[in-house]
Amino acid sequence: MRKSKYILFVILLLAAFLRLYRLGSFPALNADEAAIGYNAYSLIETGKDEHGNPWPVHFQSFNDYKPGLYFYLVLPFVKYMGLNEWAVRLPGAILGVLTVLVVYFLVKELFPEQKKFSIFTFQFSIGEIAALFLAISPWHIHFSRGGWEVNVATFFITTGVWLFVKAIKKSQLYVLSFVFLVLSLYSYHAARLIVPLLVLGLLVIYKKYRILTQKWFIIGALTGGLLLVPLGMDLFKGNVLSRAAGVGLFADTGPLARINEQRGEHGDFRSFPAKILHNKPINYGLAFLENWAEHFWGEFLFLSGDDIQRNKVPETGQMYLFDIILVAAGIIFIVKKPRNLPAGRHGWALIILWLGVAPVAAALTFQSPHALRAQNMVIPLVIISAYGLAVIITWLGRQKKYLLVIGYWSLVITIAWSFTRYLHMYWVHMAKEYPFSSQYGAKELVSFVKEKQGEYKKVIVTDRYDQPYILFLFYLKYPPEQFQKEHFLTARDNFGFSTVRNFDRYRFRTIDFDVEKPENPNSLIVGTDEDIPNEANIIKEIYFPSGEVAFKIVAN
Amino acid sequence: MKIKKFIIHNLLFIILFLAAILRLWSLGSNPPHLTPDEAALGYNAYSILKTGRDEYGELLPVIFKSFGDYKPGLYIYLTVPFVALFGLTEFAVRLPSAIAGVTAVWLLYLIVKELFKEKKLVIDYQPLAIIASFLLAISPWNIYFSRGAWEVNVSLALTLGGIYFLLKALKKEKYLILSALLFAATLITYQGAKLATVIVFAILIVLYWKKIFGFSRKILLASFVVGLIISFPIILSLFQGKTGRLRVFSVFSYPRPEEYTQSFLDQGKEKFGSFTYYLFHSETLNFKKGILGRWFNHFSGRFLFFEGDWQNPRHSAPNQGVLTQLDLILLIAGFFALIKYGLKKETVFIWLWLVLAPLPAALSRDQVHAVRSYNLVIPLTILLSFGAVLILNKLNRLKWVFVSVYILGYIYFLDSLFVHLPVHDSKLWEYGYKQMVETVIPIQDNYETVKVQQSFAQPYIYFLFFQRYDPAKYQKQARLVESEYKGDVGYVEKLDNICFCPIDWSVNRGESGTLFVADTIRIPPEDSSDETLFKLIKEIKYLNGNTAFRVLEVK
Repeated sequence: MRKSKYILFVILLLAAFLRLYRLGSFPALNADEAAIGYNAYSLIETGKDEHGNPWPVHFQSFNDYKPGLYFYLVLPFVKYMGLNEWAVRLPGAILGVLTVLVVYFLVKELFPEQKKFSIFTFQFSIGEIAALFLAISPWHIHFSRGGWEVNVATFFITTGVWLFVKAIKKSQLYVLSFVFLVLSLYSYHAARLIVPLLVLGLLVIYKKYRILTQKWFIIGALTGGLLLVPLGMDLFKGNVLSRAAGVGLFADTGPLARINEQRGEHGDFRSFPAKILHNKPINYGLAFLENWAEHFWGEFLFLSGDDIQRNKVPETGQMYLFDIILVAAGIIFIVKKPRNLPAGRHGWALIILWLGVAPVAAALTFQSPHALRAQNMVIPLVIISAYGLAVIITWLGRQKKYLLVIGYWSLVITIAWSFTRYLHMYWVHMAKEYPFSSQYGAKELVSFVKEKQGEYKKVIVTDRYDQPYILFLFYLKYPPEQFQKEHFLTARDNFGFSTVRNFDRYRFRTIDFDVEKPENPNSLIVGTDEDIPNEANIIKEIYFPSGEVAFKIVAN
Repeated sequence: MKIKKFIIHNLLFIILFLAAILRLWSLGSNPPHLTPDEAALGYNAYSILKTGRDEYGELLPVIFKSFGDYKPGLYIYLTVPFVALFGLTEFAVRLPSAIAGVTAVWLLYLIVKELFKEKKLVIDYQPLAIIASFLLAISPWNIYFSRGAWEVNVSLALTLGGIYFLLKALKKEKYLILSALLFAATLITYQGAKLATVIVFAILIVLYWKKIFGFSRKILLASFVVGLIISFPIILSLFQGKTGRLRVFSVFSYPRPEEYTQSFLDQGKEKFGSFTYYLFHSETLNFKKGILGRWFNHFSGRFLFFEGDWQNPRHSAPNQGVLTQLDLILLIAGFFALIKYGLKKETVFIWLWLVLAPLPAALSRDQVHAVRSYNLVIPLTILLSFGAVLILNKLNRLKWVFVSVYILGYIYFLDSLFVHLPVHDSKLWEYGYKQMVETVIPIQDNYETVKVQQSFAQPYIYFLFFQRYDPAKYQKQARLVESEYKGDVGYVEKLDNICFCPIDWSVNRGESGTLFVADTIRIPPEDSSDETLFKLIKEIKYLNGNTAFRVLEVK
């Protein structure tokens, strides 16, 4: 049997390839990513964000107050690579690859006595399989390809947990663990709920080590607390929390309306049973539980994934189809034989706990299941899946030769088929099936307009697709100093977002062509296919990847 | 020892008593009204009782034509004695199902005992069997389908009987005949049993084939003949197109529209029949995806704990899953306990049934379906009872805290079933037809024609049922017209001077001397309030206060 020392290296290469290939151009940059890039650019140029706030913890952006850490990670990249897609996305992709490595270390730490098992003549450990599964995970690849803050948070959480487990033997590491965990809180909202729950769980699981009284743990906790001060102070300003309330469970009025309906059905609206059975804690509690349970729904995990187009690949689950079998086998054997080793048993307790805790933050918002907010679920899932594969392979190894061969090949073929189908769906179908999932066409539009802008007094652009202003700023590399001075942020809309309606010669609004045409001579009007009648003086059409018209540009 | 035995025996009796209360309490008025199917079952039973023939004049049929859906008839024959006893009432129609529900509780007790009694269990089999029967007695799913003339519920009880006697037969061969009889009887009770029963039966045969095929030839042959004779009409019906709208319900009748697939393929410049089409996009793959998705739906939190049958709200209580919310804990513990218990024949039976029970629903067009997946209630309940035993064993002193919390949580379901269901779902249960019939009948002869809005609620059956229309008289005029959906149920359009027809108010509003019955959409109140032209005889309201029907005379 060959020893496979390069296996991990190969897995990392694969992970890197899947995350970096054509990263700059596919999928198209979306408004949030443009905001990350432009704000980093603005900080470099002026020391302030786009709206003039100096070195913020949360970036105001579209008044959604984005957690700031990723912006600061992007900053050096923008500085040395310029303001472009690669600079915005590279940090996320790199941390995605590193997460693959960290999962290997985490599994190695949790299950130190893990047996190697062999496939054909190669030897694998569960850690390597878990790393491999994360490397090819649709869920993880999706959010590694692009400036997604959540992916950064997942990296920090995983690393923090790994260091925490390691610290049980080498207690100085608690400090480092806390630093990483705190960093995750700076990266993404959901982490602020999940990390405390995970730490609490870790303390319970490893309670016999009396962690709470250890010197380094206390130092670590104090360091963490200290690092949290800026975040805490920023949260108390109120603006940030109002965004959280906007997407929170209570923003959904469904359960509230149901209270009234249910009490009404009791006949006497104010009777004791009506009040005790139908009230806010019960209805919102049930809504939360239902949301939480939705994240374990097979359709979401293995078949169709998230409902939101931006977060998904057509006809692809968050996990692969074959993961059903592997996860089921994994869970069965976790229950059946928790390893005799104490460390191993704690490890599984941690993984199961993580699986339960991961969707908690997402369940507190009203769109569930939510692949983005619950992304860190993928870590416990791939570990369980890897264990399931190990169990099956070991079992096959004890069977007759022909069964073994059939088993191996059906596994290999199923996994290979699922993987290629995913790649096919991602690269061939995604952009065409979901043209609005990202700002396709925006880059081409800006470069075209940039060329022509000198000839016109005004450029009027439709606000149909998300936040066009930020993409113009990004691709024009518009001087931030100037922008900070001249722009005005609108009040929040129904969804809690604000936008900028004009800067320089650019205007962003809903186009009513019959109104715009007479009022704005000597201007460029950019509208959607429906906005602009065909007889207008269209000088350029810009297309979605699917071939449909995204923009029509009219010289007025 | 005697005392202990005495208590245990009484415990079962108490559980059965509880089951009976939960199933019989206000059975005639909650659910608030008869569905068309319930009314049809009742009226056909009445027709059999009075004339020996069904509503179309057929002598003692096994399969009843009814609305063109060809109902297997055992439920109707079971209803006959109750109609004889209590008259043609809601209570009489629903009683067979309620009794089947109580019987199922008892049978589950016997089955669990039979399955686990000789095995050296971590847990004692007696409490397990008692808890299983208790959990079925209070199961929202089982209670719901025991309250109402649901053929599927009788089919379930028969299935349980079949399982019990098959297990018995492993020790005493001749029980096999009884088992075959009961299994076959499910086929003449419920359409979906064709697949649901085969699944259970196949699992048992696979697990116990060594023993069963070791039986004497005589017993095997006798069982086979008994089974065949009873199921013969159903087998025959498969070749006569009376298959209960199999084609309408099958998931395979609904492929993707070709244009949709084409435009998806175009994205990658792929073609029908090309390599990547077969590899990634074929219709077969799409069906498999659909079936798997439906299968997942039956194990989703939404179906089990929070919303129930979200596609057919008439199949579960409002805002309530097919289990109670707190069963989530029992279910997780149950998985844990059953996995720990390991793979033995009896647990393999539970696992396989659990996995395969939603299959009839997964193969049908609906995303989720509490009736077609109904057999699932049994493996789920056994799983829950494993969980309950585990929890009760682990929680020594806190046991009673858990039990109290569970009972408190259960109140939520009782509230949903007894308080909310009649009001919230009165439209779904076709509330209003009884009240309408009672309004129309006394004044029917004052008008030349009475026009009642036609619908799939089959208004004619309510006129037959609630005025106990003479079956002999009806059989002569019964005529079912095919509806616009080929292969689906049809309509009856006429009964004496009552016409069941589509109402177009702009046309019909001038028909003076006619009595109209319609909802507020067909006859808008604002367009029929002129008292010189129209006389509103009665407005019939749902229990939530909205208007169901208006009975209106055109002067």
